[in-house]
Amino acid sequence: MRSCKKLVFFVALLLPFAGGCYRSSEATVNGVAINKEELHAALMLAQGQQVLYRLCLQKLILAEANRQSLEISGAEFEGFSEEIRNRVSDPAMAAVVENEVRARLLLRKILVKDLKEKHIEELYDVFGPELAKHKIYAVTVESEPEARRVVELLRKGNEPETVVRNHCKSERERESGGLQGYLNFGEVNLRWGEEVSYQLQDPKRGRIAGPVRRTNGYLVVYLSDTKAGFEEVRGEIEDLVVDSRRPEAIYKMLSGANISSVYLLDPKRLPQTSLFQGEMMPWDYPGRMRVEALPQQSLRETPSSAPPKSEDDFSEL
Amino acid sequence: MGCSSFFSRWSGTALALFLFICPPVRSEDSPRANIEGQYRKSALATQLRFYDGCTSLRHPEFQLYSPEGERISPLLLRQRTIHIFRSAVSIKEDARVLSFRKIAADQMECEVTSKLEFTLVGEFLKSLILVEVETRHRDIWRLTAAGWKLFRTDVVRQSQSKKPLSLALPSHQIQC
Repeated sequence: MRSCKKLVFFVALLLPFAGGCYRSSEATVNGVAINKEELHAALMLAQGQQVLYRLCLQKLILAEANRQSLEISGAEFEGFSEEIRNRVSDPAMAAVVENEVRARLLLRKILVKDLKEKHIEELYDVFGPELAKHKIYAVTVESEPEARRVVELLRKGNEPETVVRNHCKSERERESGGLQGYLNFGEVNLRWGEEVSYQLQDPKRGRIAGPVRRTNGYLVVYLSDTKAGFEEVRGEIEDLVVDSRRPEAIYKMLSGANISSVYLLDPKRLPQTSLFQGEMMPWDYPGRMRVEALPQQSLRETPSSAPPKSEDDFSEL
Repeated sequence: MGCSSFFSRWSGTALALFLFICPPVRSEDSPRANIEGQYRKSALATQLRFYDGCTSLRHPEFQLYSPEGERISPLLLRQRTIHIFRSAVSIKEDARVLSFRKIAADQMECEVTSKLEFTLVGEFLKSLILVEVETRHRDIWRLTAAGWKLFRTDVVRQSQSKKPLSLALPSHQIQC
């Protein structure tokens, strides 16, 4: 009886440790487990210091917003909240994402808090033409005569989608009707080159650029509409101000803060290594969470005038 | 910590001063006034890290040449400029026209001196480095359907200096 009791006691003592041997793993590869500690260590080595600073900055922004009595209302956050609920199942992870989104929205509020209406108007006077957005259609055709025919049809006032669908080469252009969205001339320049941007701005050309020879045919670009009014461009102006002020604000917050962490004090706790950085696959792997659903304008961290590349990216020449 | 207070100097005083003394460029201005206005606009765009604003003065066939006479690729120029915009904590540019002459009915030539100042973060976020780039360049402007545009820049000479800064950021008032 005494030996049975000893055995039960011994097994009971071992059980918590035995559980570790059969702990659920984060992944298994041909039966070989990748456990939570291993994944955590690799993530820390890959991006740990950067993520740690981001979290520190997040706390500083939330504190500063609180000090300035700035907040994000339920209505302002509703869209993001729903998006996070739809995409993130783990509650702890969802909370982290929520805090980060909230911090970015609050940082924007901090940065535009003292931006007067008069200054927005003055910036509009100076940079209105560069910030205006234009509705752009683009089509690539096989030959120059066909491209000239497209130009003629557009000049006569034919619907651009119809012209594109009747003359385009690619399936993608057929589906979209050639619509590229609303772009400013900087984005047009980046996507198709300065020649196209310049031709679109030449009043004698009737808002049509081309034919311009490309590696895959002849390009014609058409400008059908422009949003250049003050209210239409106001958001872009605020973005400009936010982007220009952000680096200085972030530097002031981080450099003035009392940040204490074993990871930052001891280089061996978080060594710098490129072992877990960079893409190892030449393609985008499945299941990767898309962050495009979150409004890019509010969450953009760095100034960007680079639109997504299209198949007609002029840099091919 | 007053984030909004240290911006008031930029938004309240500097921009107002810039726009009062240097009003927006108008097509009816003389060529020199028009061109000098465009340099000021480009300098403001630099301070705002607005690349498209910086390049708004360029002719579509704009050419840039180094002091050695080598043509600099526009893509390389863009990459370097965007890199500075992304790395700098603060940034400021000033351009002054030293001389101005008409070389053809639709062409003007200017001798210009530009100073670009930007601050970079030092180690452990506890220090700043001030970088100053001074450039003397000769510019040719052409009259186009869209107004005066910068057609060509020849860099005559360029110098760069770096020095550590105290923790306080330098005051960046816009000057005309």
